[in-house]
Amino acid sequence: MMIRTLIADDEEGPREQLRAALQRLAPELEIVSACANGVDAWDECLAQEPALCFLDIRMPGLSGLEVAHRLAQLAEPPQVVFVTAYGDHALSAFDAGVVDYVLKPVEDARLQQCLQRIRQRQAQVAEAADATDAAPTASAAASLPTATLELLRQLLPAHRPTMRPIQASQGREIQLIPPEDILFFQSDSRYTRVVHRDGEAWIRTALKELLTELDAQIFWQVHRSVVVNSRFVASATRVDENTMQLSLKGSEEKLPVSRQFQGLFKGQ
Amino acid sequence: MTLRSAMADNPRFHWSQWIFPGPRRVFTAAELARAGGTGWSSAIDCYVYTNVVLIVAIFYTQLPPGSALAVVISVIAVSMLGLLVARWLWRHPTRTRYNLVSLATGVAIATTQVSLSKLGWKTQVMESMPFVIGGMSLMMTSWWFLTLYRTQQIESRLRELDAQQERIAMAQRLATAQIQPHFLFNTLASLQHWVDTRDERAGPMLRSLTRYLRATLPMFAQERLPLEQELQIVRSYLEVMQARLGQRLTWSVDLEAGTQPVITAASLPPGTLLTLAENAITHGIEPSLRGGHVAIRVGMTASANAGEGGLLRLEVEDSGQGLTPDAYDGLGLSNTRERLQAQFGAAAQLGLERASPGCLAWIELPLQPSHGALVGDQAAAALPHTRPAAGPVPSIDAAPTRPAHEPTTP
Repeated sequence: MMIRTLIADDEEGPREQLRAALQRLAPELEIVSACANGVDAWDECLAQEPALCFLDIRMPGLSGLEVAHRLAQLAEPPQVVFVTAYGDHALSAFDAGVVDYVLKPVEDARLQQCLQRIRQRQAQVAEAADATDAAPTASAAASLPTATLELLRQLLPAHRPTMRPIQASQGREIQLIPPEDILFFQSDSRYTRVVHRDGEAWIRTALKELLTELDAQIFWQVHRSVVVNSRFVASATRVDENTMQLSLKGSEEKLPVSRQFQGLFKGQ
Repeated sequence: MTLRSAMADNPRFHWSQWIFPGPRRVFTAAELARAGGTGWSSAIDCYVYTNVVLIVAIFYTQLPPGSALAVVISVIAVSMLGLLVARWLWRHPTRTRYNLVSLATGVAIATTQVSLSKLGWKTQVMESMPFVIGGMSLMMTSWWFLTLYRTQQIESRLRELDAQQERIAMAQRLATAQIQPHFLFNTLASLQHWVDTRDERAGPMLRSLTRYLRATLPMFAQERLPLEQELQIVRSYLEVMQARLGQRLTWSVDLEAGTQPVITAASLPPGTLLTLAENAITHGIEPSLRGGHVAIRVGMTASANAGEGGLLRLEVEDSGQGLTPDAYDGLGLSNTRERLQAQFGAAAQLGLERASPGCLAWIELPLQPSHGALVGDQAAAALPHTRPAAGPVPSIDAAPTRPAHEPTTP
């Protein structure tokens, strides 16, 4: 079985070295994407749904830890291997084997060891899937992230710079929209639509770049192209097995929630 | 060691303190110059004189009418002498000085009293005896406390300065330790790939890295480094980063016209400029999605061109991520600020400002030899194109002479 794999490192040398080493040592890995920053890595993860991610810790946009933190919240989180330049003390936290890490420059022996763990875990997931036919990737994979999520939360820096007002130009006028007034962001291929209390505006910044500035506690990504202000969410409705819709306060629009993010709305 | 600590260390009876009391520690001239900063305050003089005048005024009516004026004058003269001795002890507080001056005072007063009674003032001498002895004891006790106080003051200031120096040295070691592993292993990761794939970028990268390491590894053993060498280190560093980051980084080094003699002559704490360049890369360019440009500029402030009191100005500007609120607390920056402070005092300034886009870091150093910026390197300045022979720091070889104005790399 091919394992869909993503590599992210902001420097070309180490990225290509890792790719070459993986192709040599583990032909069963299918490298679906190689990204040069954290923002692209997160976006590609949503688009490609890899089962395995090699993330550099220091990357522009979102750090490897931040990408992993987001991934761990998905319905079916991929396995994560951190790649870093030196023995960061934080990494010893992962020695338990929940998440693995390798040091740059990557050495074959260490990578082999890491791949061995990945194969074992994949086998567990497959076994679990066989046992419970209905939910394909239930227990084994799903049991991993809770501990990881907690660890990652501790390792992440305590605060991000607070978000500045969104600046949208309309003709010759530049409109400033305070983040607390924004209902949701929706991305087009090149622009981002900002729907706020008093109307809507279009900005040039891509949604995935905006993500680095948004407070993740308030602004929830619910779809690859939709980020919603959780304070304006009125209800989430399950339409069928795979589809969910959000209704908002102060807007008639219904927003889609993709399968990966449905865990955000559990209903208790 | 002071009397008090001597007693605390050893509860036994100290014979030498009984016969020859006072602090046992004697400061060298260097120690006094380093820690004896505070001078004698004239407020103490005023305080003493006020008290003397008050006491004399209170007892004036009870003095024998014939000698009242003589008594007042001699009391004021004695206080002046007492204060002179106090200043002398302040400058060099040793127990030898204290005991010598006490002995001399005792002898002088005894001689005076004996002579006066021989001259026929026996009754007056006997009557004034309690006052004379009281005054003498008061003066000697004041001297004794002054000596003790001053010794302790200098001792604690010395301890404080030592601790401060140790802290700076520690921060330097931390800073080097913090910089190098990450930089090194990331660079090696790129290099490894290029060697594996026989990429032609491997050669230049390895050369730049070697040059950088050869210059930086022994760097912190130096107290100061010629600006020219520091600039070479920064260039090697930027070359390595350029190779690693590819198109995401461009850089330039601009030397303002007429700064060449200054660059040859000036020196600064090693790693000062490098720290700013590293900050520009790690906090500006690396976190930025699109990368950016790093500009290093060397110039002089307007007043420098006019002559007196000018400043050498070093700037590192990047067009990257910009300042985050916690940018000010970086270890590297506070460390650099402390080292500049240690070397130049308040004359050197380091600043960090928002630029659009990105961030501008600048340092201003005094240019005048009297301020210390150029002291010691003047000889080297006299011979242009000769690198100052700076101890164990090797001059950076293999670096071709560059044009002063240098638009660099793609």
